[in-house]
Amino acid sequence: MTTEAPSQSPVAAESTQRLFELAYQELHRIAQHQRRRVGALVTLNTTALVHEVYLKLSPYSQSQKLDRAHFLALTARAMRQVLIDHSRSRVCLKRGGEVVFTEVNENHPDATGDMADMLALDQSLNELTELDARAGQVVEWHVFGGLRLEEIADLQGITVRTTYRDWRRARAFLVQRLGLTNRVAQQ
Amino acid sequence: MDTARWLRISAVFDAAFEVPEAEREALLDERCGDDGELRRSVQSLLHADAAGGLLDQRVPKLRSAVAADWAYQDEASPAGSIIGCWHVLRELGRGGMAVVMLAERIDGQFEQRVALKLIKRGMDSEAVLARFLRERQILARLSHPNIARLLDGGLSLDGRPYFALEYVEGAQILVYCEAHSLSLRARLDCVLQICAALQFAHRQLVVHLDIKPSNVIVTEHGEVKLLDFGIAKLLGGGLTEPGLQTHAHLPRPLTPGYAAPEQVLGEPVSTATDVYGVGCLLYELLTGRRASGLQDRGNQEHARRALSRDTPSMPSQALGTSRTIADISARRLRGDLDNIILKALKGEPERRYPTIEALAEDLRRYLGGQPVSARRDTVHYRTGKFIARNRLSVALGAAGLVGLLATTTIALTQAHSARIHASRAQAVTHYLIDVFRVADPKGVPGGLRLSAREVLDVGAKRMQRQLVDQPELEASFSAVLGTIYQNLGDNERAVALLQRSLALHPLAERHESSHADTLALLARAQYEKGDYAVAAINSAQAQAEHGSGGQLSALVAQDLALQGEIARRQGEFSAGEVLLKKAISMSRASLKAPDAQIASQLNELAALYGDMGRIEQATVLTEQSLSMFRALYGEDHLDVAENLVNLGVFRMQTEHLAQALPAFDQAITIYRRILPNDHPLLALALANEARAFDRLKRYQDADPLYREALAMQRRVLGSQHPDLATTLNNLAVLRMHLDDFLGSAQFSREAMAIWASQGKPEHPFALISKAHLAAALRESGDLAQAERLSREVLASRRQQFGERNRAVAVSLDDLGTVLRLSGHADQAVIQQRLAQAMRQSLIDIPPQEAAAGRIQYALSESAAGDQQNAILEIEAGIAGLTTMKSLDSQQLADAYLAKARIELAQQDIPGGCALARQALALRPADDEQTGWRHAEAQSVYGECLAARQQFGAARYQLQAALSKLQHVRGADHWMTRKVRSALYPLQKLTRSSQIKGRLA
Repeated sequence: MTTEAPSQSPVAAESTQRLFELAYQELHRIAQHQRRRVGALVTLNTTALVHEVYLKLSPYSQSQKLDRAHFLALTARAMRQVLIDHSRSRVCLKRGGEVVFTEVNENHPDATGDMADMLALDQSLNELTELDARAGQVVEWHVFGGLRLEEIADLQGITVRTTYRDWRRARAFLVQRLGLTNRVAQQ
Repeated sequence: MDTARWLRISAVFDAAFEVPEAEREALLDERCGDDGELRRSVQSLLHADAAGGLLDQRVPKLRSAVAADWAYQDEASPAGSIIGCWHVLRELGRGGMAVVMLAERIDGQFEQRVALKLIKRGMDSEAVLARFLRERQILARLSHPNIARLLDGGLSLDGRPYFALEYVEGAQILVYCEAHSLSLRARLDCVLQICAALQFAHRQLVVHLDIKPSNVIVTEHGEVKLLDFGIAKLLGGGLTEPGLQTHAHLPRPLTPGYAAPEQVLGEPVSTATDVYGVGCLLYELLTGRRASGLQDRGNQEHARRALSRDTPSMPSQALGTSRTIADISARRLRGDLDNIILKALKGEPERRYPTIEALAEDLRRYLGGQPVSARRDTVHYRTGKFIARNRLSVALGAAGLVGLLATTTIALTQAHSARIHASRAQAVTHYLIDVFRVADPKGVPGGLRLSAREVLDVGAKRMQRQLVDQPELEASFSAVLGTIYQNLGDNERAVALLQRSLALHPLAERHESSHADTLALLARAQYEKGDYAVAAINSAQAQAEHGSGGQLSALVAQDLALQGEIARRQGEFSAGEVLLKKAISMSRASLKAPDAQIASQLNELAALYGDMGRIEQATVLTEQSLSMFRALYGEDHLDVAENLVNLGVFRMQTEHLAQALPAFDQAITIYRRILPNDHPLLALALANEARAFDRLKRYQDADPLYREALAMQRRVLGSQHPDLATTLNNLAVLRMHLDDFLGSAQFSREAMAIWASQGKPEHPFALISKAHLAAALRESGDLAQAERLSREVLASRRQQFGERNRAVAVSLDDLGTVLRLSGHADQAVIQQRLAQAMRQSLIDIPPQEAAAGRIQYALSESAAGDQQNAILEIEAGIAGLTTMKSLDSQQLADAYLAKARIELAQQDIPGGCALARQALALRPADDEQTGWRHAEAQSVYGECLAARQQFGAARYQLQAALSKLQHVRGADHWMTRKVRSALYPLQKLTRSSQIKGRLA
């Protein structure tokens, strides 16, 4: 994926990179913290995670004169990066070593499949961003940052209608790329 | 696609949603104009939009699945933490469900390191928990030196279950063998240790299901330990596992490359699954290659191979001529080891070693230089040329005699008729192989050399898929395949395919002969399967359809013959005789002898006569059938072998025991040459030879043969087949001869249960087993049960056979005997008088049976007080015995003992004493643990001595008899009680005479 952040405000690339790393670490830290507090995690709410990171790091972002949109973009991207890195490590692990199905969980039939799907989603999203940066951002924020389309419109400074259009177009693009249309045909 | 293009597409796409759907086409025409590609792109995107909901559903799930996995993965290393009484040192590994850590005891009281398995956070769903706890429960059962022991278990502080296992320090078996360059012998020793562990587990009803190198650790002392019962399964219940039962339909976890075909295909697993696992291990240990040939090619490839039930290439070939591992060369693997390993790795579980023990035994035999049981597949098996027709000749014991148990036997033969001959089946098979080769342009998938059977299986599966739109074609193919499966002995599949074929038969052609033929085939397959009732209905229907076609008398004859066969199997002998005679005369009229159909039907009628006890007629018919088959096929043929078996049985029944053995031997040799290791026909021949050994009193030779036959039948026929009941019945007779009455009773009960499950609790064979059970219970001391059962058998037989019947007479004898032993001699006499009268009006009573009945009757008369009649009867009985060609010394001893008793009762003391001494001589001191006959003779002799007023000697004899009988038959056995009551007055007498002596 492209790691370059959308350049909307004149912030030093250095501090953007730093903030991204902070967000990335913070995600790990908060997740760990949450686990300790709650014990067994039933579900992990990524939206809540992103918000927590945002709150945590907002003083820093303010000191860096980073606008809210840009900062949210960073956290959403960090979330995305966390999940992609994890998927990649899992899929690589499987490819490298012996395939061990021994303890495939009956409730989660194929975790490797999820990881591979996640990587495919990432890949398609990159392609979309190449063609249509704004639509790509809508997807990233909506899917990984957990923002509602209205919020995204507000942050992007465009009408909700336009954001809806972007989302619809982006979604059709992803469906096509990920081969989901064929599945409909089969069903 | 470039950005500019995307912008154009986007613009049209966006615009399309601005207009109502009806106007969309017009809009596209307008906006795209001549740009067909643009139009196609937009349309495709619109199409994708319609599936947008799928993405909306999938993405959040995907995100939380990955996030969850990330979060658990991210779990901090538990090093340093404390779980239960264990202090975690480091992580050893993690699976999907649990983390495994190295830990030691907190208190440090003794140095003990354990592998601590802790369920992961978030994995505590019901199903996972159930599986985790089940593993713990299973391990708790398994305390064996070659299995990593369960040491502790409990809940961690945050509520997650854990258990602690013996931590095995060592190397994975492949690594160990490699590192130490272990010899062939040493490697096999390692595998034998695994076998020991598995045997133990199997006895606890646990199957491991995941045998692979990484689960086998060798310690530095060369001790082998089996790990990971994580997917182990309990056979036959015992522990409840509700969470798992509900998930039974979900794919079971497995390891590709090591999983057995039945695991891959989701079929039931068994101990044979572990046999396969050990086979894989052996293969890899001795060749350095995986049996599956799979290093890591994923699920589908494995599934495909499982489906084709492909056996791997021979280990010696896998090793290659140039390569050696330690002292292992291809030359050493060739032959026995190839055969052993491939037998363990058979695709079909039922063709593998039946137990781990059998596999281990072969390995030990190999190591000891003895011949092994595994052999190469015969050509016949691989081409599918064998016909599973299951006939079993039956040896049926009748009444046992008190103190003698010379079980008289009625052997019954069952012959066969081959509906479709092997040669024809083979031709069809070959034709089909060609069909499938043509059908598949790439030839056999993967270029594997499949056996005909495997091609068939693939073909049958493919047919159901490909011919789904062509019912007529599918109908005829199903019929052909069904026939072949039936000839291959897979009656289950045959029935399903033939039923399918009938269901697909075009309505208009329901009365064509092809429909009738298929119906007849179905009836045959159902008959072979043991579903007699439906088989009879379908056969009658087929006959009606064949009959309406005219000019089909040979086919009608076949239908009639099958119905005759069914009637015989159900014990309806006279109906069977009528049907078979009619079938034979029709066949003779429409076919030219020698002909296989005629020969088969002759054979079938012979079997019926055998069942009816008309042995002479049966022998003649069998000889006719045999010579016809020999003329047609030569010596090496299944039908010839089958006739030989039948002939052997008839010879046995006509007391030509010595001549029976070679007939059986010939048949067994033919079978072993042309049939696979396990086959109903082979089992039948073995059981018959066992019976001959039993008759020849070579009990120790008989027992293992029976058990081999029994195990084989269980494997190939299942647990409810009537043939199994027959073998059980015969084994019960043998166990009685070995004085194992409880064992005998158990086998009889099993046989009766099979008949009950067949809906035929009153079948003549079931009644015979019931009579055996009564005798065994009587001899083991349970007179009340024995009486009840004897009365039931008598009532059923009277109802079935009337008042003039040999079996009814035997039942009357039996009931009389048990009544006398229970102290009701007067009632006994009534029953036995009836039996005597009945025999007078019957011919063909074997002299042994008549004599046995007389002796029992004489004893009852004596007990009831009519000594004169008793002495007449016993003398007649002894006269009958002594005129027999083969004088049975044990039966004679019984008769002498009976006569001694009667003469004593008659006050003929010298005569009684002389006879008792003779009986003692005929019954020398016998087995320490089971023998009681000598003691019984001693007791009678003791009573004689007492009558002669030699009290000291009498007391000595009776005392010796009593203590032996107390030990062997039990203190409360009727025989023991009788001796005790004879001894009692004697003890009083001696005591008072001692007192008198002292006074004087």
